[in-house]
Amino acid sequence: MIKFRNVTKFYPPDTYAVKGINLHIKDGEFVSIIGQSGSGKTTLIRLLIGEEHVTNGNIIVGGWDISNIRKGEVPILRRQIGVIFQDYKLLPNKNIFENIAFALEVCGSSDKKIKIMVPQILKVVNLLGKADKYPRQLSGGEQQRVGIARALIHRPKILVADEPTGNLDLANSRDIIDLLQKINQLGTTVLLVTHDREVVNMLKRRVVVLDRGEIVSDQKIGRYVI
Amino acid sequence: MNYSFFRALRYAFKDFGRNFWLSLVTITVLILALLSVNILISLNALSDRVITAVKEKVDISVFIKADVEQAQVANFEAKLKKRPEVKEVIFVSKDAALADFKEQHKDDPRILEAIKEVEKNPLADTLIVKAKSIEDYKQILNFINLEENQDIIKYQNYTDHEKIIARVNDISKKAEEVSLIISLVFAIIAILIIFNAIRVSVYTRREEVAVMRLVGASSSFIRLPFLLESVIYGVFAVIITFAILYAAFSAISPYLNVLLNNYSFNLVEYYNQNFVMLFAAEAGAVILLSVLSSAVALGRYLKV
Repeated sequence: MIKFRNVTKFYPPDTYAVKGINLHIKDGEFVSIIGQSGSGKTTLIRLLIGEEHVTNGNIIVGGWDISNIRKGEVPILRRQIGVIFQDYKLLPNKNIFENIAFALEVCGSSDKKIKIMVPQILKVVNLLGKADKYPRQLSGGEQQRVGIARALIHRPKILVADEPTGNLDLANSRDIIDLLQKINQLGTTVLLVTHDREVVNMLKRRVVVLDRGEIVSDQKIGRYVI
Repeated sequence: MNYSFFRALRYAFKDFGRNFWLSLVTITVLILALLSVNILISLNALSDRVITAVKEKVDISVFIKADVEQAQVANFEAKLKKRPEVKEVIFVSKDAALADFKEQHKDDPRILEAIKEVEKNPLADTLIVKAKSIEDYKQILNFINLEENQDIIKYQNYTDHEKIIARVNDISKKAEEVSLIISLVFAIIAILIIFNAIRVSVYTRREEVAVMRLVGASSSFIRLPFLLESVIYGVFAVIITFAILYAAFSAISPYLNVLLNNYSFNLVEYYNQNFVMLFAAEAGAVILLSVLSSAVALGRYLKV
């Protein structure tokens, strides 16, 4: 599904954000990428969603080499990769329904399609009863679930979660991880970037460890080791 | 496409309302720029009308000696008519001239008394000559003044309106220069303020734009609402400007009519006649200006 081939990102004058990354993530896998801040986790995500270009190497997503993706093609890539963030990135002046609908609206979906799809996805994240609430009226965990719903609305093959539990307490973090696992079981490849020890140990799935831009460990059933 | 366009339009209106005061200021400056352009247009039309009217009044009156035979006059009239620079020649017999004169002074018994006393008609047969253009009068005068024609001509009278025309030209040119400079100043201010308005819009919508990019909106869709917002500024400004113009013209036209009683010029009529052309040209220019200005602002501040 995702292949990083000898990927290097260099920032002049002398910073390697990632260096010689070789990583193969199969269809339907659940992979955690861990590492301290500055280890290159976020750069890897930014490269994957076309926010940055590689200096060297190739990134292949579903057979599509996005290493030197053109500006006009980035939106196409973004509709195939859902992304969620630590700060949820919800629009405060839109209610939950509108926040999710917005993702469809701006990509040109019809009103009819929006009316059908949004309740479906709200059901998946168990927020159907809160469609008309505003983000500030929800708990952190619920807000992150809205973020997940929005990321899934285009039915992406890949879901990238960048520190999704960073602002949440343990119970809420568990909820979110459970939800990610459920989504993974439904067939979506999940890439979880985190430095939450509890979360990683709870998952018992593949763990890739980054340090100073390089992969130092890649275990099938990993634990948080740094 | 339709969904995208109407959604972009909706976002544009939303943003217009969100930065309402800034939108208002932007439209106001656009209106000021448009008003000064329209003052320029009105002045132009006005001075054109005055000059044409003055030119129409210019003619040569050729007074015929009393003892000249009709055939000779007809012959001279025919010669005049043949000349390429002559537009028309009107023969006014001395009887008609007298009747006209009496009619003009019917309220003045002293003049009527004086005419009665003279007994004989003191006026002369007259040929009124109009040239095709104001520059042609010199040639016509040269012809009239030829030696061979002096047998039948008592005298000729050419009212020279050149000075009036030059003066009207001069005043209108100066007024146009001033309003052109004012228009340019307002246009520059308008460009800068639209630029700033779009910059502020980009800033207020930065979160929305970030989410749009994240979920895969195309960059043209992200840009469209901003461009439409500037088009909205332009459209509002042009409509309000024309409303103000019509109101102002209706208010001042009675005074203008007094001032120009001889020229039968009405600005409302002028704008009615040229409405489509003026509206389209001004709307086109303002929208083009707005879109260009906001496109530069987007290029600078919206990274998509």
